[in-house]
Amino acid sequence: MTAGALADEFPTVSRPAVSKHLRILREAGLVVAEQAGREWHYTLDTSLLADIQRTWMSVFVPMFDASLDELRRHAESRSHMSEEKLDRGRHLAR
Amino acid sequence: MTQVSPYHVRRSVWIDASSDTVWSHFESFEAMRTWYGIGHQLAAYEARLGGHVVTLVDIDGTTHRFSGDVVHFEPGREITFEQFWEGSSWLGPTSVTIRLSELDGGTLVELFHHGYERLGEPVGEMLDGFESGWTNRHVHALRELVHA
Repeated sequence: MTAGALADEFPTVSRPAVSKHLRILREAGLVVAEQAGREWHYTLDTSLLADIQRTWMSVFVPMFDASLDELRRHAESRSHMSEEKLDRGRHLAR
Repeated sequence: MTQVSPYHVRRSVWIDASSDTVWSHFESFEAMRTWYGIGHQLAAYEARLGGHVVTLVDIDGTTHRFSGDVVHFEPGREITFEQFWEGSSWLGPTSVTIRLSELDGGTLVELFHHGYERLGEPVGEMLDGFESGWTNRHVHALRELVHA
C-alpha cells in the first residue's frame, strides 16, 4: 500500500503524522518500505510476528499437548464408567 | 465465537465422550486443574465470564506468572481467557481459546493460543535478554500509536 493510500484510510490524521507513524513502524521492524518509482510501498513485515510466535510455541505447545491428552484421559474414563453403569443396569434388568 | 487472529498456535484432540462430559472438566477450579496443569500449574481459575485465570510456567528453572480474565464463556462450547506475562514488557496479553464441537460421536477439542500481535516485542528480549534493535523510545511510540 502506498503512503498516500494509507493516509486516505485515516482522513482525520495529517499526512506528516502518517509519515511519522510509518517511520516509527519501519524502525520497529513491523513495516517494510520499498520504493517503486516515485512512490513508496509499505507492507507488513510478518517475520517479526512469526519469530515471536515461534519462541512461544516452543514453550507452550508441549504444555498444551500434555494438557489435552490429560483431558482426554479424564473425559473418556468418566464416559466409559457411566457406560459401564448403564450396561450393568441393563444386564440386571433382564 | 471468539475471533482467533491469523498468528496462532492450534492444538487439538478428539475425545470419545460427549461435549457435556468434556465441558464438566471446565466447570470449576478443581476440575480444570486435573488436566490443565500438566507441564504448567493452574494457580487460579474462575469458571465464569470475567473470572480470573493464573498459570505458572517454568522456563529454564524460573517460574513465570501469566494472568488474565475470562473474556468469553459459553458453556459446552467455548472459553477464552487472556494471559499476560506479569513483570514483562509485553504490550498486551495473549489469549487462550478452547472450543468444543461434536464430531463423529465424540467431541473435538481445539485449543488456540493467539494474540501474539499484541505483544509488540521481539523474540530476543523476551527470553534471551539481549538487545534486538528495539529501544524504549520505539516501544513507547508504538504504544502511543496503538492507543491513538
